[in-house]
Amino acid sequence: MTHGIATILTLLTVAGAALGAAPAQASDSNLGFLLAGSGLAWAGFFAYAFYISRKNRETRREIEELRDQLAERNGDKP
Amino acid sequence: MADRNQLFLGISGLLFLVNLYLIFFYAPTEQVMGNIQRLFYLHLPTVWVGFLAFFIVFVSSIAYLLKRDPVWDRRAYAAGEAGVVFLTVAIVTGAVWAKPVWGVWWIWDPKLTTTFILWVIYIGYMMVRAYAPSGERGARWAAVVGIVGFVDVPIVYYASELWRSLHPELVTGPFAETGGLEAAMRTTLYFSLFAFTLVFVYLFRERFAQQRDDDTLAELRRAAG
Amino acid sequence: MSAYLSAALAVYLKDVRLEARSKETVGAVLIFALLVAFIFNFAFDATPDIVAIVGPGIVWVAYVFTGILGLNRTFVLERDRGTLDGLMLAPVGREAIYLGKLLSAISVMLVVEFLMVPVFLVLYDISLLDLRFALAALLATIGFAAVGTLFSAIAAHTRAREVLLPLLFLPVVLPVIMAAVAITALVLEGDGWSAATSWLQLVVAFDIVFLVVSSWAFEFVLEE
Repeated sequence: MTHGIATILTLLTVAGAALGAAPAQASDSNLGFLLAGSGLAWAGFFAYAFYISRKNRETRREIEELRDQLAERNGDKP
Repeated sequence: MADRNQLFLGISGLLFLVNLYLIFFYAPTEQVMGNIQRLFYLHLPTVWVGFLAFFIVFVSSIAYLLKRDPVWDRRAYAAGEAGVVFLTVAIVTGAVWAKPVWGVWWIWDPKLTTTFILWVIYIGYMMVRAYAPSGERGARWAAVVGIVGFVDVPIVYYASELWRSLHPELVTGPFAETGGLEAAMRTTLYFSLFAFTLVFVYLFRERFAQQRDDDTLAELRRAAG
Repeated sequence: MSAYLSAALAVYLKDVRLEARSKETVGAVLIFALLVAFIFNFAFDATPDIVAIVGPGIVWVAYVFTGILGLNRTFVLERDRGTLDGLMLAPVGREAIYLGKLLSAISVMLVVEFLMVPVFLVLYDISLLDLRFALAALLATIGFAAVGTLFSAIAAHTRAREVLLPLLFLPVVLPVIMAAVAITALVLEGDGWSAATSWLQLVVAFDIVFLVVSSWAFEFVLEE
């Protein structure tokens, strides 16, 4: 599931970068700024979403482990 | 709960792609500023979402102080964190847009001043969380800061307006343009607003769920000894 | 009502008596104010023209930063001495503690502001001996103290209290700082009252709003 998130987000970033570079047909002196601005925006959201999903994954994994541990322990006692 | 949020991610991701298309292809090139104006479709929605998030912090903070249900504290925290991200992006895109258009990275006009102050208040809000001794006290104090900060924002805006009337500066530029938008631009703007709000909702729900998981984890750790 | 007021007065007078004996807070804050005013002299070339422009700013930067120092001490001392718990055990409402501490903070700031007037006259040839300035300073100080007392109570209990208080305090009281600087500039230029009325209204509104909000929020900060 988290692989799904990572894939979608990567696709989004690539798409964003590609689309951001697309209006190079209009010869604009400020294109660099446009790319920088949109790039930073995507990077910001991507970084935050990635940070949350990684934390989520770790927390959930630990919860699973502890739950298994407790179940084992309780299983030993009648 | 987690799966519903995946669905959310999918929908907002899709809308985001559509939004990209609208911003970079559909929207017409602005006559005066050129393509750099497209940052407007990133800048204004993120500012809006930042303010919306802080409003959620405000409401959740009051609810938490009155009801003491941790749910409200988690909502405030999630909204606060997401709000910082959105406002940071807003300020950065605003500055990157301003430099080529105005020649400076920043000016102290009312809207920018208020946005910057709101950003600093948010940071203070998150810092109270980080530095307060225990969970419940930190939540209570953060709630107080969230409420006081929000009440302050309109006053800051009014004061900046008053200040500007004494030191008149450049009023034209990106912000003055919102009145005369073509239909296609307006569509792009509103769609972008919608897409970013959905992204916010997704991030908010993820962070909210994660806080609950953190509490569960803490309990389990205690039980495991 | 009178129990509330007398409790607040008791808190305030305790602080006044302690301060009158030790003179710690006012002394330290005053030295700091002198240093700030002094250092500004080297921040730029203090010719009369330039001073006319930045003078109000210097005055209020000095006042605000010394205000923060003073506010820090409002609760830090209580905390360090362990007297805060005693205060909280006493059968007084939290609002009374807030009012007492508010009065202490205002007093410290007003004393320093007043003592700095001759300093600014000597160092920068700025004359603050004006009734309008006194009124503006009083209103601004009330605003600073209203917010500062609340945030000081929070910051005093955290690990990063010296950083947290200014970080929380400064953005919120920015409107008051703006108003104070604007009114001071008008006073120094010799303008009439009328120009200052909107700013004065702003400060009064700020004071009322934050006195109410802070005294309400204070009880949530000092809970057990």
